[in-house]
Amino acid sequence: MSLLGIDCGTTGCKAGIVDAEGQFLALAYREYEIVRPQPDWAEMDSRTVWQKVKEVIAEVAQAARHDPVTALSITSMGEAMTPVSAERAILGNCLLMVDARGREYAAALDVRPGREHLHAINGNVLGTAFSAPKLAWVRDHQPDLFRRAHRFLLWAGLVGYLLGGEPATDRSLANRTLLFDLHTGDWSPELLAAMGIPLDKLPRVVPSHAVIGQVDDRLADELGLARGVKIIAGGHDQCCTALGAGVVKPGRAVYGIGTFLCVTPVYDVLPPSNIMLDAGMSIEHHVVPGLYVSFLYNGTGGSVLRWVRDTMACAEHAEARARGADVYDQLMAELPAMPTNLIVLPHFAPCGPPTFDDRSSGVIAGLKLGTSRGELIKGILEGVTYYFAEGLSLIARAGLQVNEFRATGGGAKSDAWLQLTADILGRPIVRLEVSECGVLGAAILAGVGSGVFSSAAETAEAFVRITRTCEPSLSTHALYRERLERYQQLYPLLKDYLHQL
Amino acid sequence: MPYLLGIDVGTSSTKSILIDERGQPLSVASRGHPTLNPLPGHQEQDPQSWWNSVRATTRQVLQETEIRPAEIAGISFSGQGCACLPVERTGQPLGHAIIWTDARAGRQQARIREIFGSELGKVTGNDIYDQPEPRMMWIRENQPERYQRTHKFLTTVSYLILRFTGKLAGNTSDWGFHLAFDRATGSWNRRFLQAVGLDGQKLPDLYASHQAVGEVSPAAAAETGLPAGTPVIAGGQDSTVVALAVGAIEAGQSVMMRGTTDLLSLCTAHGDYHPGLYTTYAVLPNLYIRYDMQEVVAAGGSYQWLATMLFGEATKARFEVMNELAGGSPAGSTGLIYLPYLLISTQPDPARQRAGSFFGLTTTTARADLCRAVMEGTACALRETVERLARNDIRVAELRLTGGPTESALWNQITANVTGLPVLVPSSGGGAAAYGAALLAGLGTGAIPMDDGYATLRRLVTLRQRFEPQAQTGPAYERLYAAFCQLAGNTAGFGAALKEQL
Repeated sequence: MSLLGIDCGTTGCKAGIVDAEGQFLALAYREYEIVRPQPDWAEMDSRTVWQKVKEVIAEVAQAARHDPVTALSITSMGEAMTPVSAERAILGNCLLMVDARGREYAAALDVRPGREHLHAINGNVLGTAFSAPKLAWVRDHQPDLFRRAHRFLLWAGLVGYLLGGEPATDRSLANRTLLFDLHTGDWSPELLAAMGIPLDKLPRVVPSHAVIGQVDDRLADELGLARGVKIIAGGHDQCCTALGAGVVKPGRAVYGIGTFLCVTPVYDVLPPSNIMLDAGMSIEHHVVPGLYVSFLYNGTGGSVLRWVRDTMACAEHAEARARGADVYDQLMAELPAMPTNLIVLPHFAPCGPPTFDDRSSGVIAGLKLGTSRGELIKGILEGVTYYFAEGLSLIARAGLQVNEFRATGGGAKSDAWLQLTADILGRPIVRLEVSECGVLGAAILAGVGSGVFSSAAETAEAFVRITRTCEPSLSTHALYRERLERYQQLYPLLKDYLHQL
Repeated sequence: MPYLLGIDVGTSSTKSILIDERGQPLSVASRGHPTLNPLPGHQEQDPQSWWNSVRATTRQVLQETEIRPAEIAGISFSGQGCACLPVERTGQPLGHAIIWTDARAGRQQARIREIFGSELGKVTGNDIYDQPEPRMMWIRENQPERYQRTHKFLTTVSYLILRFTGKLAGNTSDWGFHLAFDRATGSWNRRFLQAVGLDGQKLPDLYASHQAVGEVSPAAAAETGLPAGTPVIAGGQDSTVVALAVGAIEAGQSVMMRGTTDLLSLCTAHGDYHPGLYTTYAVLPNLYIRYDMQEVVAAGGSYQWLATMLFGEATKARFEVMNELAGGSPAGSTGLIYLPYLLISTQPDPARQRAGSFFGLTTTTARADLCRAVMEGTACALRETVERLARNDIRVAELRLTGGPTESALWNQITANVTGLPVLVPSSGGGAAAYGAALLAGLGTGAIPMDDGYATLRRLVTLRQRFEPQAQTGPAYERLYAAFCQLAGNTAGFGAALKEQL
């Protein structure tokens, strides 16, 4: 008996098979490209992605054939919706979160129902990232496609549907459309009416661990799966990552260090909408019943390290590649032990919550003749961390405290990065044994949905092993608190000017 | 036919140059000397390391040119200003020189400010910058025995005079900047010395920069290869000597030395105290040099720092690559703005201290943008200075630039375009201070006449290039400059907040 977790992201898809003890038996990965028909459009070719998803499933099914899969579940990026026919055919591409289309529809929502009321119903801070404004754009600009579409499906639901399940979505993904009612756990008639989206174009909302069908026999044969594999709804990738990282109790948060950085705190009581909205913070369903999450993210995150590599470490990069070494290990080894005297505004890429600014840009202040590359890198990482320290202090006002961060993603392997994070946030941050938390989270949901496990949270607690804990140094934390105050002065002072650059 | 030898002992290296009567350099030699950092904030140099460099570079130019040393009409010096070197009656140094970058005497500076209050500038003729008197006070308070044994305090150039001639002397361009000197009377300032408790007997006799102070002693002759008896001209502080080298020799002319930091020197006919400006004697009679040092602008320093960031080393070859790269970024560096304040600010008011910064960074900012932004940021800083001077009724009509950054034609052109002023790059280039010292040797010995209205001198100083401001970048640079001023103003105070803890 084994469980299959599938993860569809914006850069690639993964499939992993996990046994009843949470050990990985197989893992496969395929990449794909974003399609940009116009400069500010960003689509995914859904047919290509589906092809790649089938490839990763077939690859892991083959590798784990001695221990057949009995259930599967899917975790995916949010927002992007693909039109499908009643015959399980893909009718077009999906519009990604970063696609700029639908701006005018989001602006209309700002007027009616207004962002306060919207947040009270849906828990999200109005913006163009969400699915609803883009759905409205498709309705008005591609009316034929809109009419022909039997449903518009979010990626986890799309994969489940194409594999043979009913058209469905869990709450964590439904939350990302902007058409969902956080409190009833179903589509919001008021928001559907406000956006002019007919209910029958949307999938049914189910719990993340709900069974939505079983894999079509013909597809099972094609993919090398046993017949009768159950399909479990699954959920949003940030939430499944949280589950797979054991972030299943109030007071814990994921500290995801990837191309962009995303912090996901979890809590069990709905915080006041007005305080959360003031903080620029969303409220979303976790994939674990009764729990909620918020996302703080910053596009500068890990991508800025790549920028440092490409501008300031070209020779080292080429040399490390020739040796088969990782240039980032070398760069991170250059970080000085003490806090730097730099203040960095980490707006090198668009900022999500709580700052929500895509017209700002990065600032490095406090350079000296003797500033070294290691200091510069540390200064940038400190700036990124201040961003989250500021955001977390905002949600603390709503009573949401984080006592422990669990690091995931590529940056989690750097001791120096984790230590400076602990020192700035003043909380321990831990590294986990498993790096594929999203796939593991999906596999746990598959196990719960198929009756192998009784509780997602308990299973995650049993599976997740901590390999290192970085405790904050109190004296260093005190130094960082002073610097945080200076950091917080910078953006209000410069915002207007940075918008002009 | 006479030859002239100029020697410059700067902060990081020594250069010697031998020129002929047409002003043509025959040979240049240079050699570095280390700055010692015995404690945080303490910056010292061993005077013996200066002398070793002087000896080696002098011997080298003599050997390379194979001239007869007896044909050298005279020698003179340029030096880093404001070093504080106590020596015994015998001329033996009492330890190392405390150099101008040393930060130990902050408390003594504060005391001087306290004593004189708003009268300070009127009493001393200058505000406090990096003059040696607070360091003399520091020695008196912290090393009383050393102070007791001090016969004279010397500067770098004074020490060279001592080593070459055996005399304990100084020159007025070097010492005329100091707090203890009264330019109104041309002598030591008793009121100042008494108030701060320094002994005027411990200060050397002064000569005008172009005056002969003595001749090469037999001992110095044996060490350097110069004939004993060669005339030694008093010399000057490096920035005043550079002004001579690039032909800034009459009121209204100016020179910008682009070393690690920018230093703008203006020639004026009067030398009275002027708030916001620092003043000393020029190396020519009846002329003063004014410095604007409100901000310390790291032009060359920024480029060296950026080279180290981008390539791990700051070499000439890397600079050339960066110059090339900068040409590939458009005017305005795709929205990137750089504030070139990489050194500790001299602004006494912490709320006005600026921080070295980049604004407008994105993950698509290219190396070319970073290189060009440094050029544009330093040009904006210069324009700000020129505009501030204009508000003080000091008009800058053209800019003579020297130093490493002038190797880049693009940087020179950007400087002209942003400031709206013609930029002149004299031929003496990077070795301007040593070259100026050689010219000074000529003026002091009469090899170059001083009574022809400097017609001969003007012929010797030639220009390498001239850059006129171009109209096409006008609008882009107006926007850039406006943003530069706003960002510099808005982040004022961050420099102090981010200063390293000493």
